[in-house]
Amino acid sequence: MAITVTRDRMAPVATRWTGSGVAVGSTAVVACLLAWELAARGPLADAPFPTVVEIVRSLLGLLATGAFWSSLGQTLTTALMGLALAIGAGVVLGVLLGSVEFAYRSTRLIIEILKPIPPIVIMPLVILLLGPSAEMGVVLVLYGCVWPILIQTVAGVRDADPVLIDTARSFGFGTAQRAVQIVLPGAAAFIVTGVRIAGSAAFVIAVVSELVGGAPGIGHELFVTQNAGLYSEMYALVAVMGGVGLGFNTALHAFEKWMLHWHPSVRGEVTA
Amino acid sequence: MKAVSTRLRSLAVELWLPVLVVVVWWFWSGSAGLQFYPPLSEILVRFQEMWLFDQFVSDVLPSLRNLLVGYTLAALVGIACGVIMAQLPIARRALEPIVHFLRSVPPVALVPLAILLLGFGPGMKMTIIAFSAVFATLIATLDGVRAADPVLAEVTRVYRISGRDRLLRVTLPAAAPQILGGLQVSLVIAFVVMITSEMLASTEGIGYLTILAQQTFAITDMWAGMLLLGLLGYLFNRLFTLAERRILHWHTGMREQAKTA
Repeated sequence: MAITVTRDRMAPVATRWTGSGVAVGSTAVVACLLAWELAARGPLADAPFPTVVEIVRSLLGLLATGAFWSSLGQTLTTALMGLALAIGAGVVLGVLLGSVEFAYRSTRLIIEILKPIPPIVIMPLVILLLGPSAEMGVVLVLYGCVWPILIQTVAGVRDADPVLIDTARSFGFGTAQRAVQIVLPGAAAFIVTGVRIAGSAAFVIAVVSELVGGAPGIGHELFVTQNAGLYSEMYALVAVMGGVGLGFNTALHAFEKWMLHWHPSVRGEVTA
Repeated sequence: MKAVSTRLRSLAVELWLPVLVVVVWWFWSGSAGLQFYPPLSEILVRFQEMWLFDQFVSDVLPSLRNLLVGYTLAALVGIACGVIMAQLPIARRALEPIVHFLRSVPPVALVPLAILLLGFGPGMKMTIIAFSAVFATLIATLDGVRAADPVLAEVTRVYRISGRDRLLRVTLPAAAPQILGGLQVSLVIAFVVMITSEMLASTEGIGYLTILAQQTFAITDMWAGMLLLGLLGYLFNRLFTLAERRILHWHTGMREQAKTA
């Protein structure tokens, strides 16, 4: 049963990349870019709609500047720091709430209420407290990422096999030893899934905190280029964010697979 | 009698901490030196003054209208494109790379581009909400339709069920759990983009008033705005879960049966 629960409903069906698939896909991409180019030269020539050539030129220009790389690094640092703190807090609290029934039931309502409130809602307060700083971004990422990890950890801990725990107890394992050697490995599949779900939000939240909240990073660069009227730079930055987002998600999927290579859900690729 | 006292005790266990938090907030906020935490009583008064019903028509309604129109559009387009892409391999192969790239762009980053192309009006907000929210539903529908039991497709063919009947009675119900999962993610995205579009480009809306209050240090107003947005976030999620449970009651029922069997 544990396996079906950890596979969330959003997990994509494995796509087989056949040779013709890649060919069709890249043809479509090229066709889209061509259509864009033609639209930008023709009917939309007067609109703030730069051509692909201009965007690529701006992109190459950006890639050559140190400022671009340092702001991109800043954004990734914010996202990863927030995620790391969320993992720490989520796993520790999750093990606690998952193993102490009283704590679980006492906090359930608070978690239920806070979980669906997105980070942007609390952003005005966090800006007041921390200013438009990287710390502000980290706090927002932490807030946004901690819920899925916490909830998955609680579910994983509560799912632990009681026979396994009783066996460990009769072999003389202490509470801490049981938590580290029995409960945590058993909950690992749940936790890693929680980390993947949370992680895909981390980069997005970091960008929000920069674009709306003014924290330093690539989102803030977008705000600056918008105010300066540098249209093709804006498009280039959005394209970069798409690429980085794609890379982030791919890395998270790879991380999940690597962490759980021993787990039946990965080994067999069962479509439960 | 015993059942009643057990239920009371269980209710007490669930509620003591939330009640304590509110009580502590009530008495602690507004004490000297806490300039960012005005008394909860004042926040509630401002909440009532602002949203019930002074600025309800001028700000709350436009926000909700943009969200509703944008989200409905995203849901319809997402499900339609997802079904089409699942059934036409050529469309799927062609569009999948583009969809996955667009899905990976942080939705909020598209708001400045939308302002550039469409201006500051409500049309821009509905469009950007719909565009940002469409991909989660589309991808979930695509996966859901493709992951349906192959036997189902064979039986449908044997019984010559096709067209509308196949779509409404076989394809969509089989994919419903995934589609609803996607719709829930889309709803969260639509809500976030609604707030962001108002914070970045607006003269009306809940998000605009909240960020304006923060920038002008009207701290109590800011709290009232955060309270309303938080409440809305919670309510949308709650309503969605209730609707989902209704729509999928046959599915959960089947799962329960499988578990006990």
